[in-house]
Amino acid sequence: MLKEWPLVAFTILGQMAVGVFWFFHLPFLVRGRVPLFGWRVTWLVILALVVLLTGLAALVSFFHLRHPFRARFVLSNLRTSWLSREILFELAFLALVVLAVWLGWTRSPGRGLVWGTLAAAGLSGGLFLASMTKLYMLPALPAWRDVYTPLSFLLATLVLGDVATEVIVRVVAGPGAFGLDLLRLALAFIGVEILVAMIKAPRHGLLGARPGPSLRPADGPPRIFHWVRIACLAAGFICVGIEVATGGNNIMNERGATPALLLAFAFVLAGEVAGRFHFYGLVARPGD
Amino acid sequence: MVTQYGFYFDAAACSGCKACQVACKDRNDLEPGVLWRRVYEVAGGGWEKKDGVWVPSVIAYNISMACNHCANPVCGLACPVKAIVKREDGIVFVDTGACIGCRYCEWACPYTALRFDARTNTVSKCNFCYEAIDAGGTPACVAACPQRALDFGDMAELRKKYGEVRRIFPLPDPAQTDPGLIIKPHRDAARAAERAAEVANWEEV
Repeated sequence: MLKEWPLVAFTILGQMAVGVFWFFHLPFLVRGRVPLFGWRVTWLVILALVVLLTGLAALVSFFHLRHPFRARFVLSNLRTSWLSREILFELAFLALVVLAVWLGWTRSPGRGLVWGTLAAAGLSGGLFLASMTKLYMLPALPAWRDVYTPLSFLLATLVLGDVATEVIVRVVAGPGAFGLDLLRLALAFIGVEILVAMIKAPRHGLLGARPGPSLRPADGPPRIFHWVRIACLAAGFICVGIEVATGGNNIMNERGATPALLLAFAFVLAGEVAGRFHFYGLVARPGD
Repeated sequence: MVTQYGFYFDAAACSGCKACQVACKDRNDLEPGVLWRRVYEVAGGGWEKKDGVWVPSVIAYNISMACNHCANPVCGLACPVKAIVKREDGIVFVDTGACIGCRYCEWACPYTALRFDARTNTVSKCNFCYEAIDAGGTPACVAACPQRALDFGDMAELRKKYGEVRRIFPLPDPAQTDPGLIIKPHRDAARAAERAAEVANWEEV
């Protein structure tokens, strides 16, 4: 299970990158504005971090390949392989965000071009996540072929994207400047994720999938990963709650990213990592 | 002309001697721990009360299993670099020169046929002894079985000869991959699921 750390890092970093991209652009999309005016610096920082996270995810993924130099052929089975499609959409997402950085940097792009690029990047990010989910929903693996897989991947994207965006916006633009109450949203997402984990987590959730008879050894992740995940998410929930209660996101507050907010990010990140190790521990590789 | 090679396995005849497993390792010079053919020991049951008398209800049989060279090889469909190739005669083999070692096919195969070979840093699996087949010979496992529990041939011929059964406990639903496999079930197989039987030799497979 711990051997799968490159996949844990790849999926978590990739999901956080897409989540940050979505959450930052959502209020601008709703208001029909481009983030060029008044928000240019924050926008560029967000895009640069998204590029960094996605690039890091791609780099880390090489560590789970035994012949990384042959990875240049990884797009050769787009017709049937979800792994090929996942990499295609990841590269498309990365390229489109890089293009958005360049457009932001040049200062005078057309509004239509910016929106077109951002919409295409957002869509590619969504398809990247969908391919990542589909990849694991194999008929041979009932533990993964369950509604829990898309739910947990989506919730990890929402939780990490939401809290990370709040941290970045606070640091770069200041508290309360953003047009979306990310903290209250984070409370809802973290709460839902805790509930989903307690009810539907395979093997350890109340109604989670249990291994059936098969030719694959019934390897189970240690229960501790399940509870560490829930405990970390709960701690993150409390930290976000404290931040909301103390008015950390009030526009009159000049504190920037507070310790409670940074702790909340650290806790939810730790929770997602523990949850992902639990996920990969559900399926054994025979012979290992 | 053969369009889909397959194996026949007689679970009622198999004694679990593992000669097939050893012959496969020998013919293909496999590393320790890499098993292209494996013998699973299915065991379960215990005692049950019938008309006030306790009688044994033990379940014990063996399953010799390798790659089934499926008509719908999900391993090949999942491979991002097309390193798993199906020949015109249905034999599925791994092109180790193209494999990137992502090991995704190991997850995709419901028969756990793909095995990681640390020597080549790629996955590997049964290739139906295709060199022997092409020369008019027999797969090593089939030739080695002292009980004649294994046979091979064109699936159309095997169906005519042995019937249509392709699943016994705990094999997956054949609809997943359309495996090149015909089975004669052991008499205990029908009761295995209800008696909570399980594979008893995970350390060996």
